[in-house]
Amino acid sequence: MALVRVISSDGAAFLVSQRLAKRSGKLKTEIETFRKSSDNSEAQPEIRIVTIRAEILRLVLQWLQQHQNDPVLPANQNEQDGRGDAEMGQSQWDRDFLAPMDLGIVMELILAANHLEVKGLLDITCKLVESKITGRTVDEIRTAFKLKSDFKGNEEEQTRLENRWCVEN
Amino acid sequence: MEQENIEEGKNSCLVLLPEIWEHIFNYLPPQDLISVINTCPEWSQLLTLRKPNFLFPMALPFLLPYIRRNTLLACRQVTKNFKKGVDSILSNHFSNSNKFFAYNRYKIQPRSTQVIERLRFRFTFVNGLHFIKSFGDLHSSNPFMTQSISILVGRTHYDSPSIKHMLCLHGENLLRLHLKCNYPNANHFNLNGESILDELAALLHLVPNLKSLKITTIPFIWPSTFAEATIPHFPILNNLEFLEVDDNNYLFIVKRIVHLYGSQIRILSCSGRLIEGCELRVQLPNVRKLCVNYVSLEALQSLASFKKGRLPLENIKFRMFHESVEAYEVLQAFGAFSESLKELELVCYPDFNEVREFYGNKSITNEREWKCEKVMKRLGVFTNLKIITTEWKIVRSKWFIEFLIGKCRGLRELYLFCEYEGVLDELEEFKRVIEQVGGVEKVEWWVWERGRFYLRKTMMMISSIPEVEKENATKAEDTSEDLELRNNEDFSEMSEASDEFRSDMKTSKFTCCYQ
Repeated sequence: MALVRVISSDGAAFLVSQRLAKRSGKLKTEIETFRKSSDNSEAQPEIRIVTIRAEILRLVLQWLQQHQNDPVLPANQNEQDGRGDAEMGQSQWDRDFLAPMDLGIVMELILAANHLEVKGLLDITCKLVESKITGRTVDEIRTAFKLKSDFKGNEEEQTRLENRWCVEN
Repeated sequence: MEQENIEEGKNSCLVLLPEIWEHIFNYLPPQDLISVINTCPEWSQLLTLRKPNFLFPMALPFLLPYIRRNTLLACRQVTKNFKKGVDSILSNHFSNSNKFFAYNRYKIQPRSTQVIERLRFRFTFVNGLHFIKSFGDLHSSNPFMTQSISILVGRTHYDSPSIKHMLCLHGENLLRLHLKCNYPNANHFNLNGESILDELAALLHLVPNLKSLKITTIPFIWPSTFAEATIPHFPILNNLEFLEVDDNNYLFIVKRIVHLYGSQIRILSCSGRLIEGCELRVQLPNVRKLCVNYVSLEALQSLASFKKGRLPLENIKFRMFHESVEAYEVLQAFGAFSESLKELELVCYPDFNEVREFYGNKSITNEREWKCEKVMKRLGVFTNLKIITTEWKIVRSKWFIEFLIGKCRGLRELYLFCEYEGVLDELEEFKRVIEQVGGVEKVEWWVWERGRFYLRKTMMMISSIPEVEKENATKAEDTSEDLELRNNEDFSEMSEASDEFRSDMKTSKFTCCYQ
């Protein structure tokens, strides 16, 4: 079975089957580019992902493996209808997968899923972050993200007035 | 030597105390912090608590389709970094001039765009008093979060002093200004051309960082004294690069503005009449993207008179043609830009009768054909032309097919607009044309129905063999505002290739090993 070596920014190498790797748009293109440029068709492609560290890459690959039999979603679906795929509900596995994660890790996953073009993962991670901010007060959002306000003086009041200008009639 | 030092140092993150690193990280932009996280596990650990804060602006573009307007606004109040992220999205949305030329403006807007678009109305002003009052004495930061406003100039209740006061306080934050000039009867207002120009100049003085200027007018009776108007002093606007001046009503003003700022304009949308009278190469030497509305014969001749390569236009958009315009003249006008042109758009929408005039009903005389052939022979190959957007009717005419097959070797995408669905029966013949062009990857058909275009058919080709053909059978059953629910493109039957690897993947194995 054809394999591909995917190397994270901090040097960890992952051996992944090409079939699985091709579920990621980015890896698929990279493998194809490698095929074109290499004379030896048997050679094992090596792909370096400089923007994703090992911990995150491992999570992405784990997710890909779990969802390897799902239909491939077009990357531009959101452009068309402007929202995530409502009909594709989150599975229990996904919920368990995301549950222990810190929001910082989830954000990193969003960026990684976008970079590797893994639509399904981007979708569930974005939905998770969305659920932490929709319908909450500013203080609740800060608690969810474990943040403290860093506004100085009247900056926060100013921002509040600006927001009010945008919503009042 | 340096190389050795790096190797000796082994782990530089242990050289300084964590507190000092944290202090240093405070000065890094998010993009660099990502690199820091990705380089070294210790740093990543150190930054754990701050990740959600500085990663938010970077993740926001992807979150946008999922969140509502009020949520988006609420995020501005969380931390400075959150606010920066939201504001940069808003400002980018309203002042990004590249979007003007994107073909997909015909598409249904994604929900995220609709959410942001609604903010536009909050920044349309006749009177600035209310706005200033809403912010009390807080004049320090930028209340124009979209960095883009519209001002309705010249209306009866237009309050010039209050608008000016508002711009005095916050004008430097604006990147985009839309002036809607409405002088229903200039004589009635006791105005002359001079005072209108004065008004514009005075407003422009207050927005020194302007990137994009749009001027539209409601037709009005010109004051008789206009021709003799003396020219007021206009400010220097170093950042101005996008000018949108589509009407003919105030050509005098537009010419004045082009004269002043022409050399820095990169993107221009104007009427054919401006092109006619103006020496483009001299007055607008840096224009790369050009949109012409109401293309006239003289405008085409003016474009055709260029020598090859003298004005490297990358993007040309012709919207609506004067009835006297002939196909060969359009071809001739492209000729000068054959090397640089990347995208071409030819549309008569919304007046389809014009299309007929332009292409259909004219009897094809020998003379016309002869002229077309002559022009075609002289035309260079458009090697860089990747995207064409046009009307289905134009595409089927003989000259255009010859142009496609003979001159557009590099064409990748074709977007076609049709008047009614019936025309889609004639696709077979057209497919052969596309095969002859070679290299085309995607063709889309959009059909005009109840006031807007709907995507009806997509043809994906790989190396000129039609691979997937998808009927977008869904009818436009809902014309309600809730268009965001529609999904015209359905790729679920995407390609055989993906099916094939789906079945094979059951046997795939996932291994990982750390080195």
